[in-house]
Amino acid sequence: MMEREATLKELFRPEDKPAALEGVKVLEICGVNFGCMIAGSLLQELGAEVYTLFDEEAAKITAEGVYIEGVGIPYFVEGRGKRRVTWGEVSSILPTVDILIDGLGPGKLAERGVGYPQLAEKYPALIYVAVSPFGHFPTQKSREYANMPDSDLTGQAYNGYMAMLGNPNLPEPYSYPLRAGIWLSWAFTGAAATLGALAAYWQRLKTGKGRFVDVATNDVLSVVHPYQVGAGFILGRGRRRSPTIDANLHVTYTTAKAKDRFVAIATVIWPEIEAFFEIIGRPDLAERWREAMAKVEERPEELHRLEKEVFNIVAQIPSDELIRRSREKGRPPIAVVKTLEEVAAQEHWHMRRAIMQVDCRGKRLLMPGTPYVLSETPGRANQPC
Amino acid sequence: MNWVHTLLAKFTRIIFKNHLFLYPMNYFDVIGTFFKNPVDSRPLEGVRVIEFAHYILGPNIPRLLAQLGAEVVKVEPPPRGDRWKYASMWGGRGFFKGMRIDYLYLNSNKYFLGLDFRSEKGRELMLELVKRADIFVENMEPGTLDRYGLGYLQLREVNPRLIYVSASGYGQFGPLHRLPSYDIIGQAESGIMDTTGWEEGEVNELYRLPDYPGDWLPSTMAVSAVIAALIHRVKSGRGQYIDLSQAASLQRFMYHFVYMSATGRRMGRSGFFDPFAVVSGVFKTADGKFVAVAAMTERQAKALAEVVPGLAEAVGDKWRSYKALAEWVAKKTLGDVLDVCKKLGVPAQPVMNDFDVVSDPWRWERGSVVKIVDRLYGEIVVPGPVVKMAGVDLGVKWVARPVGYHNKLVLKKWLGYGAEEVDELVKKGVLGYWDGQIGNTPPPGWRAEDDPVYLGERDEV
Repeated sequence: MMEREATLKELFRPEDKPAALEGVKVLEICGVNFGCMIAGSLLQELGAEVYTLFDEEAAKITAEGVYIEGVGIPYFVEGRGKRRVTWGEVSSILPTVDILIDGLGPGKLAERGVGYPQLAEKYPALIYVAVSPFGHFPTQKSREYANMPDSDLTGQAYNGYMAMLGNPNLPEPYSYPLRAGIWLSWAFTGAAATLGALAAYWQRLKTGKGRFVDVATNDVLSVVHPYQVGAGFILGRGRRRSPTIDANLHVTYTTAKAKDRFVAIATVIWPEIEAFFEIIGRPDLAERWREAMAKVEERPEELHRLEKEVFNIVAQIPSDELIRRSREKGRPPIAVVKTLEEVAAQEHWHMRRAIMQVDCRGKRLLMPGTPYVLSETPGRANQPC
Repeated sequence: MNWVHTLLAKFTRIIFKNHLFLYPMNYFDVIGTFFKNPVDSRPLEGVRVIEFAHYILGPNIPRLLAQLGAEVVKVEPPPRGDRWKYASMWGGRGFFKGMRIDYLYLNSNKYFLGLDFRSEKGRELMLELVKRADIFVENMEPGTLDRYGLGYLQLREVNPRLIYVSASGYGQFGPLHRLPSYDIIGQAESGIMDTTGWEEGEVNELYRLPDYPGDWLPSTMAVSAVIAALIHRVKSGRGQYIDLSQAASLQRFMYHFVYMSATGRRMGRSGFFDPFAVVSGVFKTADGKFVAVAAMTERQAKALAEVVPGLAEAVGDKWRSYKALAEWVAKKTLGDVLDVCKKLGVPAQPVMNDFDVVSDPWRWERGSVVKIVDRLYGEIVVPGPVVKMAGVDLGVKWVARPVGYHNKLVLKKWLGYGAEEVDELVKKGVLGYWDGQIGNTPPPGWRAEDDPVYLGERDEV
């Protein structure tokens, strides 16, 4: 195993290697749509040359007034490695562009004479990726909301995601549906737009023809995740929100407070569930849990009672002891829920360039690197300063 | 010059495919014409994929590749294979005609081969398939497949053009790489859980992100790396190794690290606020519905402040502005809030639940929710494709099948085997079929002798 790791470490060394998308030219016109910007960023990390139409409003978006190099934090991350252009330069760049990503909303670029219908005639090889809340594909809602700007929060809400997140037992308004702590909806949107763009580009290599790709922030998350559609179809109602045990499997696939801190417990299949109850010294609970789980739809309170009992036991055990026992037994995986500070300090993520430290005019900053680890064409983790 | 463009656009006549269009009135109609007659081939047709994966993280990569047109063979050791299919869901109600609903979706458009790769003949067969494949996807614990001669370092010798993806929690190298993972572990290790929940003094809770985004998001991102590797292979002639880490993929979107290092403070858990919005939150309407509102820019916040009493003075203080907006929302129905925000150009949408999603007319109109008639399992509602592509139908063609269902079809198409040869390999235990347990079975009433696809006589579509 040691030899394997050493070989792979050498194999994945990023220095002096080409990027996969070298020669691919992308223009992003995103406005304040960061799903669109993320798509440009992922293409850039894979090696494309990305031009971005600078947008002052997007650059101003930030948390608590924090600006770096004159832009907000999201723009600082998603703008790196891209060449800023102005409207005046767009027409001269367009003839050389392979992929255009439009985040302004349906019809906005067409009003400026550079929408897909106009460009498709002029540049038939162009791949045009539209990113908007309800899509450019004609529907009643895409027309009705054509002027509505995009946002991640509304994407999380409309995709049925927030309805499953948070603790309904807290006092109002803390009991309301919550958001995932990152721009999850925009991240999915960006990832979808990227794969759509590249699939179209791959086809263009064979046919020479461009294509229109339509991405709707308000549906990506719920077409990739199968639970919203699956539960709606099978159960005929929404699932119940659960802050702890998993709302699909109804097992201890959960976070729980150990004696000293939060841990994450990964029980999915029954042998893992049994192993977990053995680890906490209560193998008898396995059968009771199985019975309560079978009746969860009719009598959820039985599982909730059992859940409290289990959590009380876990709260007596230190986290490192739980982890030691799980590793000794071989399952289930248990890990400490790391704080951001702990994650940022871990060598593992720096070595893999997932988190990088950059020097910005004398100030050392941490920022996300790239998740793209490819042996022949490593992802680019760009310096923003 | 912008106003000139705008003015011209209003009167520009475009002739496309012999139709005359006017802008901007008919923008949607024009776009609609590009989507009519989706008869073009799917972009990845001709690309062959071997999936040696289980649960979600691994299988979602080939799922999306198959959606884009790739021919995916899911290899499973018979009779049980991918154990995810057996997990009980929704108290045992998550099954549809004997198969779990999310498994049916996750493994749609794939071919199922029941192959015991641990036997010598099984491994030989596997290598023959690998020689003919473009992509290999696995998500076993790091190093597991090396022990069977199926790791990247071994398979690149068999097929130097192979693009090999290993998906795991931590990646294939680095101090943590040997630790086992699931979505929840990836979430815990990435730091994302520490961003999700409340950190407001009296309420200090953090939550697992539901529905396993630690699997779905990294695997969706990985598809782009795979296609990029295919594109590069056109120039280089060589395949490569892609090392996907769940946690690293989640970290890609954690701007928190920048904030923390720039300010020396941690960015607290966000609750229902978008920390980058000027005004945001989840609110309860007069008719008892939840609505999410996010004024991302100062312009949007200003527009909102014109109709919401007290908001202008409160902007900059998230709880004060929340309370001002909450009071306003509480007096209005959901429909009213959406109407006003639409007019103002401020993002606002309802917090939908599962049933809202599946009943949403927009989704049916767009094709994000579709009813198909699967050849084996009959009428079934499925999610639409991850993107809409003009001129191409990327929808689900068929849902998952039990272990080994396509044994005859796959070995005929890939290796030219006859049905008798396959039956012989079944007798020897090299190939096999499902166990008939719930989660791994054809639908009730199915008869092998009446099923030409099972018999390898015709394809699914």
